Amino acid sequence: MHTIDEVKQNVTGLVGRVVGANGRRSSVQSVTIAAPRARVEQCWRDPVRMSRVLGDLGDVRAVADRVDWTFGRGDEAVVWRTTYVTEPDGMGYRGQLAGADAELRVRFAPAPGHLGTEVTVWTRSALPGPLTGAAVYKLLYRMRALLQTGELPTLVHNPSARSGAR
Amino acid sequence: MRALCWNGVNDLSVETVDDPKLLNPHDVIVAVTLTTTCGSDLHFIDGYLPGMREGDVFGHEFTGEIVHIGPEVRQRKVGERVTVPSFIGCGTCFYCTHDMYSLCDTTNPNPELQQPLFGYPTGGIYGYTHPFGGYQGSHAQYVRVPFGDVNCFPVPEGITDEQALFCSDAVPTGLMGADFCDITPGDTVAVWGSGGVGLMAGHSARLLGAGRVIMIDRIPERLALAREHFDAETVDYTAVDSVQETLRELTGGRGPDACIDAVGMEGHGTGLQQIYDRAKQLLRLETDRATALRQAILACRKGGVVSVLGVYGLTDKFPMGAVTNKGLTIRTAQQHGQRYVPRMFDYIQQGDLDPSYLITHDLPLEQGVRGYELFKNKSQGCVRAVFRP
Repeated sequence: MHTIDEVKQNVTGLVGRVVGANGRRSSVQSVTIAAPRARVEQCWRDPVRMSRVLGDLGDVRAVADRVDWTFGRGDEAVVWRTTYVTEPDGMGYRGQLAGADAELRVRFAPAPGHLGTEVTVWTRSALPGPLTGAAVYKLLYRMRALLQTGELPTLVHNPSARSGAR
Repeated sequence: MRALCWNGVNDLSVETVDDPKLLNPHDVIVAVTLTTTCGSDLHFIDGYLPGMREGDVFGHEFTGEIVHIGPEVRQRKVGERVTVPSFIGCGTCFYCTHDMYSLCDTTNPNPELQQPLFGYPTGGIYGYTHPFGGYQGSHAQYVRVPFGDVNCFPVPEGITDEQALFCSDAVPTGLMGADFCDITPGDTVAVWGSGGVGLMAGHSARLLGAGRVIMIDRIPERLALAREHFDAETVDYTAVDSVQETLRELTGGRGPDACIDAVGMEGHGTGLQQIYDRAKQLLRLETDRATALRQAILACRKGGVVSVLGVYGLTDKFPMGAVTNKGLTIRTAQQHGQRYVPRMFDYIQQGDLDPSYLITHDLPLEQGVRGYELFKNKSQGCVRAVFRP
């Protein structure tokens, strides 16, 4: 496997890499988005927009009073069934993932100098990949791109001489 | 379409690949008229810069004609002749609105690959490794340009394709490097490297008011171009015992007011330090042969500016003590081309700058592999080989 694929696999790969009993991992990532808090928060609550933001990482669906996050595709897909949580300075999602409690908390704070909203995501999960640093950073980066430009940076159909990319 | 692809270290080929498509509403598709070799491509061709994938179409400096536009493109039109800076800006983020387009916060599709390296990712660039975005490059018949209104600059009448080509990268990089030097009339500016970027840096320094421009290289024909086109003084570093001592002597013991490094990680030199760097680089114990950067720091006058345009990875033996104790200012960036294009067009239209002299080999794209051989080996007097898809 190419090294770049390996790095991406670490971000998106799922099954068979669950860490041990004491291996619950936490990570924090933060970006500033040039948009008011209400707009950013609305994006986090909207499964359709979140699915668009996640892109290849997975998708999000509202099911009754739950929010189901599907990470990965096909046989490797893992579903994280969560409940929505409101917190004083933000929001979050909680649920079991890989047999252990997992959570994603989002904190919003006004950025100085009219720069918009500071968005900090704290995650805790036993499953390396979807809720760890690199994946969360990519999600935040893509959310910022979507909210600021209306577009997501993409390499879909990126011409190359690789058969898989054509 | 036909495209020049990277297949592995020192392994290039011209292949048939799919045409690019409009993917986002602000995209445009440009039919490439001219695209050029660049010294920074050699870093991944030679295997010193990781992050390419087999089959990648590379190249990042080009000019062409718009053939398709997305539905949200407002200012650009099909049929326009345009030049496109190599880094991709969105035009709306903090960095783009502060004229620092290569630091764009939204155009890198692979930001998670860069965050561990730099802390915060740069913008995307065409054809220059996946941590830098993984975009398809310009050595092809067509290229997709995101945010067409921000990144495509119509070429004014009177400016040729050969001139417009270098407004994509070599000229704005050189001009930015000279701009970083805060030149006051009469200043002395020394430039390491007389490739395309170095020559444009020296030429720009002259345009910004430098009284003396001293070019340092070992290739006679490149030093001759500097003397011919912007009246530079030249130093062949293989013909002197010490570049630092030579510059000290040429400046009455003061040192140049500003020094520009237009060499980067594959610098050449003489003496034990060069042997040491080569050995460590071959063993992958360091990525850089930072000969030019070290010399620039040591040669610069106290309180001067060192402007770094060369591309580096991990540099060994960086003389930080000299930077601090001499009170140097180091300024560096990947090029913010969108900031400089209008000024470059003015210089060209006024006859102050004609970058087309960089073209030494004008080839069809089908001869792209040969073009890179000529360019890499600096054979047949090659300064820049350009390709016509």
